[in-house]
Amino acid sequence: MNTEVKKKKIKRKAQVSKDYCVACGACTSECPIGAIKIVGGVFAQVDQDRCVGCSKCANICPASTIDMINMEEVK
Amino acid sequence: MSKKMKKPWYEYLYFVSVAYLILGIVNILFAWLGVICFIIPLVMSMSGGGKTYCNKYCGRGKLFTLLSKKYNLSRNKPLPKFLKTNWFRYGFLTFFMIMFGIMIFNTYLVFSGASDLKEVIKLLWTFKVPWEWVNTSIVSPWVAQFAFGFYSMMLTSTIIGLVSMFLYKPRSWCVYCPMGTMTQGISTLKYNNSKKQINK
Ligand code: SF4
Ligand code: SF4
Ligand code: SF4
Repeated sequence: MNTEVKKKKIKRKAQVSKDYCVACGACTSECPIGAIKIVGGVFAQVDQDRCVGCSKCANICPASTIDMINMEEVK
Repeated sequence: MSKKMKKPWYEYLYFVSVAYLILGIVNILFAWLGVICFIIPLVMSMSGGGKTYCNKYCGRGKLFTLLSKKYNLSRNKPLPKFLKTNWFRYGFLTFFMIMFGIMIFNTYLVFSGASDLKEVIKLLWTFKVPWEWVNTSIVSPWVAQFAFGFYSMMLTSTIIGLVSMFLYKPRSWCVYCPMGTMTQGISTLKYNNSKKQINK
């Protein structure tokens, strides 16, 4: 069982819920690796392959519409 | 050693916001410059640029970020949910547009001679602050009346923005900023239309 657990690494990734996103761009300026883009001036979208899970975007988002979600990855 | 990334020029645009407020104190007629900040975002979103103005060039957004980060002026608390709803956002936009309409009407009354120029700044649409230290007789009274009305609106929204920044997250104002709501509305219409066309 333990070996099974060890193989998995929990990664945190940012995810935007479009409902409250106002496309202000506060998150894009904050992301240190430029992993967020604003789609058509309507909502923000995170490139989860690049996201390093630092939470900076979630902290700055005025609409609190970015969640840090846990993703399990097999190492 | 990691090199510090150079900030792009538009990150310094908070300067424009501060300069505008100061220029309006020096001479109210500078308030007219604010019209540019109304036209640019609308033209950008109408021509398919989305919210590029908000995302990159808005001095006010930059100012709130700067004040919060550098001077720790934000409590960084989440905004109450009702302030994020479309009801509130579009309601506030409507209220703002009505106030804008009244301001234009007052300008018209002065233009037509039906009323006299009032040299006051109205804060939060309620408190009248005398603003008489500059001789505005070099321009037509209606030009000055518009400047007083427009500056009142800019100062009022800055105050609400600063209070929002202090109470909640740095850029809370951006959630219900009438300009941001308008440009997002325009962008959403464009986005939905283009999606429909792709699906055809
Ligand atoms: S900071 Fe929040 S509201 Fe603004 S664009 Fe990013 S996700 Fe949307
Ligand atoms: S969590 Fe960090 S890396 Fe991921 S999108 Fe947000 S700011 Fe960028
Ligand atoms: S929402 Fe308003 S204050 Fe915020 S960046 Fe856009 S125009 Fe500027």
